[in-house]
Amino acid sequence: MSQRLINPVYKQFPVRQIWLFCTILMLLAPEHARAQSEGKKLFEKNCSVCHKLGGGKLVGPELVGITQIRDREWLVKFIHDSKALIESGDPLAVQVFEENNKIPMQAFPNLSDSEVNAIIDYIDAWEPEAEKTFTVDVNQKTGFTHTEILRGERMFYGLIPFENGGKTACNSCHNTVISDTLNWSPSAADLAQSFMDPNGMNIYASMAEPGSEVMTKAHAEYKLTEQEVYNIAAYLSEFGHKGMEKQRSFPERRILFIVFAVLMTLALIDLIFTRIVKYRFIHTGILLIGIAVHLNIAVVEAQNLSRTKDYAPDQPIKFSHKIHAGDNQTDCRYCHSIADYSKSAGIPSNDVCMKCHNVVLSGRNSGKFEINKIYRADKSGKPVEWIRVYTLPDHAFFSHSQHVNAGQIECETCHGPVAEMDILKQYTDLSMGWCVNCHRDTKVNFQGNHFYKSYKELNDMLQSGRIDSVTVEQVGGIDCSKCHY
Amino acid sequence: MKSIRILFNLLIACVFALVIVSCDRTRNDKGYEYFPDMAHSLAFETYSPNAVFADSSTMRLPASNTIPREMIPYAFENTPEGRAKAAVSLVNPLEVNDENINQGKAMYDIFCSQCHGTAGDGNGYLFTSGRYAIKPASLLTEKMLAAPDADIFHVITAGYQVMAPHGDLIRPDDRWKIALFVKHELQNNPAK
Repeated sequence: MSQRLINPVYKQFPVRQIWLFCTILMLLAPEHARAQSEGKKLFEKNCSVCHKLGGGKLVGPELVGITQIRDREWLVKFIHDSKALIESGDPLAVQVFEENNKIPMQAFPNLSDSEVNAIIDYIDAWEPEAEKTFTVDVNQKTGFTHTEILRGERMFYGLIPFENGGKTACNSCHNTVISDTLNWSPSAADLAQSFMDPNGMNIYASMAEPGSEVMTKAHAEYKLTEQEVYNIAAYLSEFGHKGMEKQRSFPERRILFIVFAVLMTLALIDLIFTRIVKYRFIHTGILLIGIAVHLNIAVVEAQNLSRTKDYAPDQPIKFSHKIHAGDNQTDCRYCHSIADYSKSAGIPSNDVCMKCHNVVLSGRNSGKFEINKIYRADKSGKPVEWIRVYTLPDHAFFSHSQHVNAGQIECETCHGPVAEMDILKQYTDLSMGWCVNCHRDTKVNFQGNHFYKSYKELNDMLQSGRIDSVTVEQVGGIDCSKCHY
Repeated sequence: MKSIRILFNLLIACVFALVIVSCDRTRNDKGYEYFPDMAHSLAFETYSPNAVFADSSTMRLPASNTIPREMIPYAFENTPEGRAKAAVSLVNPLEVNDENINQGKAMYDIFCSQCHGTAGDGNGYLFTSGRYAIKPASLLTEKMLAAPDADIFHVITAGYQVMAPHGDLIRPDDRWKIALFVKHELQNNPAK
């Protein structure tokens, strides 16, 4: 009986229309979402520096609900060129201008009508983000069990596949071993540190919704379940304590040393006792080459004591001079502004970073991960602990101001092609021989500098034509006490 | 005789190979030191970490309610009112001459040109290359043409809108020189 009652109801349902409706919905939904994300992208790129949705007035006014009080056509016009609108005497535009401290809004002639409309659509549909809820405790940073950690480790190394796809193992981008070139993806240690930091990243949120374009692209195929993220978090907490594996290089020279030591011993034994090889020149040859190799290694290693040429340590933030000084064409002295009047060239403080990064929120290569470190440091007031690359021993005095200001030496003369370095590398060996050679060869701006007026003898020699220029050496540039006092 | 020549060639090849081969350090390794008795300063250096202070940095701010000698605190705020006030109350102490203007140009090239452009029209490289999303202000507008030196000095010192204050990077004299360069060079030759 009941079946009969239900069945007719089913039959009456317009199945075909429902199908059609569903298909249209499915076709429309991504389109709608795409328009939304397009608007969001445009908003973040063009508007977010002066307008904060739901955050009240920033430089420009709050925009949530703007479509209710303003005409859409007027908005499009205003966004395209607010200044022209104000100058044309539009009363509403003038009123907005007066209300906002008479700070004119930038014109956006490069945005098309549809793009401006996408932005307005995005503002229209904007809702305060609901506090995301997770089934796991987001703030758990320690106290994971051993099995959880092990499981996370295996996932990280790609030994346990993820439920929803994502074939490449985490560690193929997030290095667990230090690499020789700059890897823009955060290393496992970086992730661990950021995860353990109380103000650091919420790994669940950032896995669910990547914060930057770079990460969205890289994580496109990864849809991790919360349990999987939990396991990886467990592994990261463990990794934070363990740290990166120490970088090892292939000990070529050590092996060479040992091989020749063994060969020379064998040659000597054969030469004196066993006499298996008849030809003496083989023994002599091996001994000669061996001695040359050993001497070379001894000399080079001895010279390199206390010298750190080619030292290129990993810095706490993956700051690339290639991006900043090279691609962005920023002058060295913008950030190292005290180089021409101070002993030190100056390590830029967070404030200096923030002069541009208050607007530049994400990088082309590193997304938001590295730039967020500045914001965290800025917020906590803890200085970023950069690692010093160029170090002179304390018994030698060097002042940047003398060289940069009085000497007019280019930065690149000593620091090399910094604008091509992703990881800053020590370019010169800073040995005393290097200093002295340069002081012998470099000519001083003798006549253009009033300071040298009192050097009577040199002035006389110049005037009589016995010398045509003066080197640093001649004005006392290689006296011991010039640098060692 | 032939064998000796081969041997000699071999020897040269080995020595050459050794010169090319670098030593076994990784890039993160500083290597060894030899009697570093006087190499490391016992006193704290400018940037060395310091266990004495809670924030672990050796560089200190002046004690509260004090100012360093010779420092004149800047009296105007980063607001439209502050800007207007500064423009009328500050006077450029430097005289207009080629030396000052040239030095101002050097400073402008370091600190300003990447946003405001070498011509001062606001089309600096950071904006035109799309790296910086917001159009920097043009220094050739009528408003800027009418603005006194002190207005430029104020904006460099305290910032304006998105532009961050640059008073900590550029010394006061250099800021005045930049103002001189903008007023007497950039704005006089808008075609350049």
